Amino acid sequence: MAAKLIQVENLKVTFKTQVGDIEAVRGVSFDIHQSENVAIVGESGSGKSVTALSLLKLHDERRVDYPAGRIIYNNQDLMIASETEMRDLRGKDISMIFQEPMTSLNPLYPVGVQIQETLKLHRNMDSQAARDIAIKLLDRVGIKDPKHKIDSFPHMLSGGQRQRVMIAMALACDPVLLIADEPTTALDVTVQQQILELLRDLQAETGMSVLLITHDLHLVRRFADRVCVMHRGQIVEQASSKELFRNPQNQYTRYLLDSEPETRIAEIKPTDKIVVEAEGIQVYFAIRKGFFKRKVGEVRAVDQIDIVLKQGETLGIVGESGSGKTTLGMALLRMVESSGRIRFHDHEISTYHERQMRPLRRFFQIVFQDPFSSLSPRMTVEQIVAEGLKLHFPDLSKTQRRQRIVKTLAEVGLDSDALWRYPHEFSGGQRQRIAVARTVILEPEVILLDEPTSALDVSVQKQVLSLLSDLQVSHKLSYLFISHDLRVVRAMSHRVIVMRDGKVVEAGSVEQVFDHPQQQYTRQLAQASLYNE
Amino acid sequence: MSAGSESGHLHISPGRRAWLRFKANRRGYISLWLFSILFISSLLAEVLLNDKPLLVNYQGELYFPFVKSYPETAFGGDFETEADYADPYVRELITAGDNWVIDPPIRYDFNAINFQSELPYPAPPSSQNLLGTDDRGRDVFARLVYGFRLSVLFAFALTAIGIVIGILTGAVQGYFSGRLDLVMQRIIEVWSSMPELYLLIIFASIFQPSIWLLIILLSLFGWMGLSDYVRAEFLRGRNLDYVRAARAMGQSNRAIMRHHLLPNSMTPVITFLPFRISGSIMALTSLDFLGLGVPPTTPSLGELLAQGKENIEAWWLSLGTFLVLVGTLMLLIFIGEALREALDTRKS
Repeated sequence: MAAKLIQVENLKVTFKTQVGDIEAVRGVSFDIHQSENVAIVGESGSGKSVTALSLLKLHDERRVDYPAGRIIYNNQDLMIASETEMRDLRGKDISMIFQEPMTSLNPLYPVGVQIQETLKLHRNMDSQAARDIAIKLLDRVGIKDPKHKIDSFPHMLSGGQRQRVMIAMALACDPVLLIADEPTTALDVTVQQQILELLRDLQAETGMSVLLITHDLHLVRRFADRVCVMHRGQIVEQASSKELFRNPQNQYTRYLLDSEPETRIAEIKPTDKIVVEAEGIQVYFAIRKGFFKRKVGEVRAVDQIDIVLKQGETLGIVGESGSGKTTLGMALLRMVESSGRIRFHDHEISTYHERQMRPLRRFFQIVFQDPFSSLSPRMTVEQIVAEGLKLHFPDLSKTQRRQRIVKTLAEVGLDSDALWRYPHEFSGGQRQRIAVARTVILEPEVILLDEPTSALDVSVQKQVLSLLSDLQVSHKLSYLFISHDLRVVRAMSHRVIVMRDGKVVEAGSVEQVFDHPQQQYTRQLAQASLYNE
Repeated sequence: MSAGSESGHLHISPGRRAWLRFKANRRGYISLWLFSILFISSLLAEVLLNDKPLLVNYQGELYFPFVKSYPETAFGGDFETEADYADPYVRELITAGDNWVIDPPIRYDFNAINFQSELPYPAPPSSQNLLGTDDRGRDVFARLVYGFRLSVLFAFALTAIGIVIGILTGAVQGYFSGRLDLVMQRIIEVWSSMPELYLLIIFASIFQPSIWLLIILLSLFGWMGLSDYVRAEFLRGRNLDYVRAARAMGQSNRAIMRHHLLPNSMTPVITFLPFRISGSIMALTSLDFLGLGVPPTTPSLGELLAQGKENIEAWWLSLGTFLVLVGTLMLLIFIGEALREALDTRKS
């Protein structure tokens, strides 16, 4: 085995807050060897990112305290190293890439300048030499035409390209350790795969070590040599990747591995009654330019799509970001203007005005992706859930209304205690339950689920999905299930349509589309997300 | 922030919780008490500070001079004009024999002139005039109390009007956006480039200056700053998921604006509230100081300050007014701060 590169011994990190100290990391020990890929896996709040940031001491000094622990690198204890010594280390020996490629790059500078900055700082290079190296780096991280791309601004690049630029920046000084904090979370599945492959290639090429922080156990299986599973500030299991997936020792690890969404489609039988039928749905956004805002072109967000949704059925809509899947969902619910025919039972709703739509609105509900922005922060849970009830069932008395709210909250697994609380007092999963309660209380027929579990931890994801399945059975709901996560869609849907650039690439039953994909694009998608074991 | 903890305040209504948060801010809470006491007693100024007695018993009959005007002849005097109760002759008539008088604690109102002063005006503080008199012999303390009341009422009215107009225009612009927003924004830009002070000077020379004219003129311009912020909040908010959820629920535009966007767009309103109120007080004071404000008989802090400037050796004029102004503005700002914290539901 190669020599130890960095040793973390009994690291503890506390955050000082107004309400008292919070122990984020409670005694964590692990080593990273040379040329090794180590992964720290855990759900949100497990302290994995805090641990990673501690290696570089990137926390806000005034808010954080290290009561115990040593981090040994190069015979030096980083815990007692001065800020100047740390600054020398950062970016040169140990560098880091972050989750959000959108915000980690400065939008006001060309990407080349940002790469050159590190080079000038740590290697005292002049501009021309730094520029040459930056071009080489961009080439190495797989950016096509690096000579021109070096002068582009971050907004001109796609998410995947930006993450590549971030990696180029991190690699600029040939670090011995690269810390990657959720490097692929914000990216589309196919791009995720490319970025991980890139990291692995670079690792093999340069012999550096990589510390990968992620919430996704399955990502790690193909990537890491060794895995540390973190739970509530402690490492509960540490083993080689093979060992861990074959024979997980810890209960929590097993729980995480087990929290794959379960397929319950078989027991949910859709009826033959057609609820929504749409033909030739089109949503075009005009591109306007110049002083008089002349129309110079259009973006075809949704282009000629037909849809049939039966009672009790789940239709999965799959696609990468920008494929138009959310726009399609919104168009079906008449939330964005579209052309084409949409029928809901006997109503030709595509011809209805906003005012005519309003009484029908209760039959179409939406559950959004981000449970933190979908609930008004100034309303209590009771007010949130009661709002639609007051609107569509104005005859209910106050007590009847309260009864129904309590009943619905119980149905989604929340106590009546929740009534008087505000959304911020709940965790992500609980908030999503509140959002579901708000829709179900109106006795809808169609619910648009727009990435309902993407912002949640895997274990919570599973709970919310099974809640949705339960509700579907008991209320005979039809779901339009939008997701980029094929595993979830596979578990939830009867039929699937695959979208790309506003068009349907492939449609059919789940088995048909995922197991025997006809199109190259569907195969790629399925490859990237379903079968990475 | 996980749930499951803090189950102590479950059945407390949102309003009550906000009040508890307000009380938790000691400085703001004490300021609110002090301000309320001062303001309420200033509302009773007619009873507490008046040159007319509250009650006169003259020859077995009861008179209420502070609500009703009686001629001097009613008390056996010589003139048909209203009795001057500070006049020693009248005083003698109404206190002679069985007659008696109940006076307010301080026997001057804002316009009553102390003709009995032994010193030339402005007279320094004495047992007759607690804070001295101004250069026309009027009691400074009485003028300060009435002036404080007028300033605060003026500021409340101006702020309320400004907030209502500002929120309305901002909300409409932000929510409907597009062309309507564009047109209104241009109108606001043109409107805001009008020279406010010149307009005030012009209007002050055309019309008889009065407090109502000032409220109208200042309201015409006071709403614009706020409307910009509210517009920005609505623009940001209209595409948030909870607003889309409300639309999907079938809520009308008005209900969405009122129940979803407005409470979440109040941050600029609440944040600027204390500064708007104190700004309004300062606006009135400075206009009066420049002589563009209310007519000279009206009790006004600015006019007192101007007198203090004219009579620099009469320290009681400027010092008293200064302290009242500083005190009022400070209390209002402290209250505003506490209010801002109280309305932040994210604080427990």
